[in-house]
Amino acid sequence: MKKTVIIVAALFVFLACADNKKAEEKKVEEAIQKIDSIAIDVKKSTEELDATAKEAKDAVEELENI
Amino acid sequence: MKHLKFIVSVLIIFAFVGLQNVNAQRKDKNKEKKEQLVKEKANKAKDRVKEVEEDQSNQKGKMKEKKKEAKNGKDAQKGKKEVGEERMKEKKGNGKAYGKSKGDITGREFGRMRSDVAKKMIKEKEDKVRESDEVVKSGREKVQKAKDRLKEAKEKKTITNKEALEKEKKIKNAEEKLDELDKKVKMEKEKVVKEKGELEKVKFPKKN
Repeated sequence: MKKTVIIVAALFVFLACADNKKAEEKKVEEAIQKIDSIAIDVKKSTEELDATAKEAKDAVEELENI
Repeated sequence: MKHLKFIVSVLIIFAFVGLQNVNAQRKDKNKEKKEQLVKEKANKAKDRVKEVEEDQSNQKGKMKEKKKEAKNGKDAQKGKKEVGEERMKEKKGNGKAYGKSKGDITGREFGRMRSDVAKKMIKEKEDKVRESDEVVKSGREKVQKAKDRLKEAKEKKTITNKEALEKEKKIKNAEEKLDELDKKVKMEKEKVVKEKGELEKVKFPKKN
C-alpha cells in the first residue's frame, strides 16, 4: 500500500511539473504570436505611409517649375 | 519489493535535484554571452518576421488562386478540398512552438527579443510619421507659393491659358496628395499609440 502511494505521489508530482511547463510554453507562444502580428501590422502600415509620402513629395516637387 | 521502494525514492530525489540543477545552471549563465546571443538572435528574429510576412503573402496568393480555380469550374470540389487543406495547414502552421526552448535560448528570451524587434519597428514608424508630418507642412508652404506665383503670372499675362490650366492641375494634384498624406499621418499617429499599448500589454509568464 505504502509503495503504491509513493509511486502515485511521484507520478502526480511529475505530471504536475510537466503540465505547468506546457501551460507556460503555451502562454509564451501566444504572447509571441501577438507580438508578431503587431510587428507585421506596423511594418505594413509603415510601408504604406512611406509610399504615400513619396507620392506627395513627387507631386510637390513638380510645383517647383511653376 | 524493497528494491522498488528504494528505486522510487531515488527517482523522486533525482527528479528534484535535476530540476534544481537546471535552474541553477540557467542562473549561472554568463551575462556577456547572453547579451551576444540576444543580439544575434534579435537579428534572426527580424529575418523570421520577414519570412512570416512573405509566407503569409504567398499563402494569400495561393488561396486566391485556389479559390479562383474552385469557382471556375470543373474541379470545384477538388479546389474546395485543397483550400480546406491549405487552411488546416495554415492553422497548424501557426503553432510553431515558439514557447519552447531552442538550444541555448528559452522561449521567454526568444519572446523578449521579438518584443524588442517590434519596439524598434514602432520607433521607426514614429520617425516616419514625423518625417511625413514635415513633408505635409513643407508641402503646404510650397503649394501656397506656387499658387502665388501662378496668380502673379496670370496677372502679368506671362503665361498662356493652357499653361495656366496645366499648372493649376499640378497644384490641385499636389494638394490632393498632401491631404491624403495628412489624413494618413493623423491615422497612423493614433495607431502608433494603440500599437504601443498593445505591445506593453503582452506579458510573459513569470519564472517559477
